[in-house]
Amino acid sequence: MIEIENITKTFKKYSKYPIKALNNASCTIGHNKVYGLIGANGAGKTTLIRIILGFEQQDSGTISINHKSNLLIDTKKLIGYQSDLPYISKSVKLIDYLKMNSALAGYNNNDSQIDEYLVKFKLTGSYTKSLAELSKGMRQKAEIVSAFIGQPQIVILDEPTAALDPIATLELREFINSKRNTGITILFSSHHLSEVEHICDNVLLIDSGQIHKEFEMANIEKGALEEEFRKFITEQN
Amino acid sequence: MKNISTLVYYDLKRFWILRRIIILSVFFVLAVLLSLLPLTINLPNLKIELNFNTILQSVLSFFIPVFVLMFTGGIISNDIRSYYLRTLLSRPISKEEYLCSKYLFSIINLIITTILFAIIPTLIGLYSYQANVNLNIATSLITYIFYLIEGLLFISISISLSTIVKGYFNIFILAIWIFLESTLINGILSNLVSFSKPLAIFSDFFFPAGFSEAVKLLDTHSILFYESIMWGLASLTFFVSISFYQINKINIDANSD
Repeated sequence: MIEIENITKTFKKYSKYPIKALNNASCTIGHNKVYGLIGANGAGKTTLIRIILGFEQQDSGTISINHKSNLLIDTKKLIGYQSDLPYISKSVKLIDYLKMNSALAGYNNNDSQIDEYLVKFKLTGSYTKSLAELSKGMRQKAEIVSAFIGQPQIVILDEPTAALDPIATLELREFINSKRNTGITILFSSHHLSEVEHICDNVLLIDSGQIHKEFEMANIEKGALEEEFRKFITEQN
Repeated sequence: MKNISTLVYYDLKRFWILRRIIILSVFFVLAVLLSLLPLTINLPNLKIELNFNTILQSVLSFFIPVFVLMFTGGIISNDIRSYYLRTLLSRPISKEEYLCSKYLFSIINLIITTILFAIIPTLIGLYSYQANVNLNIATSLITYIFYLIEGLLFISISISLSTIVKGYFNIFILAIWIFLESTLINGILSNLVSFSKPLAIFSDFFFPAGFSEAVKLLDTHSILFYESIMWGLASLTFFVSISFYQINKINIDANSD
């Protein structure tokens, strides 16, 4: 469970035009569910994810994961993260990258899980290629695989389908569904409302650095999320 | 410790790719062949006596800054630019563990390359020169260790710079730093430095050569020997501290929106 309480973050504090990326953002991300995080560009999605991961330090407020600070190394062991900005290297092979991620997550000799994910994400033909040789979509798949490697309890996916083709997107949807009942909490940030609607149990709407609404998808009709989002935008304007 | 060794292992794997191994092997073979040159030339037997330790000092004082520049240029800033550091820090590792792995990686590379490109060709060269070589293994080992610590000092300066400046620019700054030390401070300004205590302290601290100075005074057991070591240690502590301070301040998302 991730508890986010009154997080505030301002960039360029002392400039003429400070940017308030998060403004008293609060929410609770419960166990064993898939949460979507939607919002316009600059709404604060990425900043919130960066703060949860400890890349950025908030100005005020607290974040706890399973009732412990998000900055503790023990807490980080619970998290898997797929970056929207993948690491590209000519000298690192895909298989080594995955093995390294696994070892750093505390799982040495995790070949069987790595093999399973390589097959599932159709990366077996590329495992000896360097990261720079992979296509954009394959790189994204590699990042998704590395997020699920080991036994993370919380997985944060930042725009996971941005570079995926429709078939890979459907496969990712199936994969997330298969993970849904294994006790993993997934936080899924995306611009694509239809995807969020298909995948998520709950959706958090973030705007101007605040979490304005939480939708429970079970209570919303199919296709209604877009309408709700449109309504919200009209209200704001 | 487990995380550090994992990071070092993958850093070494990332660095020692086939292309780099081939290039360095070619250089190694060239160095050995050049060292064997005296055997092919009919040199007059001058019956001279050479001190291995003195030769080792001059060889290491040239090679160590060069190798440090080679291995540590952009060592941190490039990891930020390529989002490698971002990937690593999303895992359960601390910035301090990451930095320790960089020090360990650099020192391992320094040991490998100094043995391959400095010590082995020097030994072969001396053998092929057929001179009487005065070799004291214990003294040579101490000399080597002192120069390695001096290398560690250069590494700490380079890593500190790499946390401050972007890309490979820190190579340029470090090269100027070393150049200033060898020319301006130890050369032109040396008299001035010896007359002015504040200037002497400034130059000893920011343009450190404590460990290599100590090696030259190894046999003397004078107070200057210990003083040089203390200056070296003071500078080492200073620059290592800066690197640890800076890594905690660094913005790992500097390139993202």
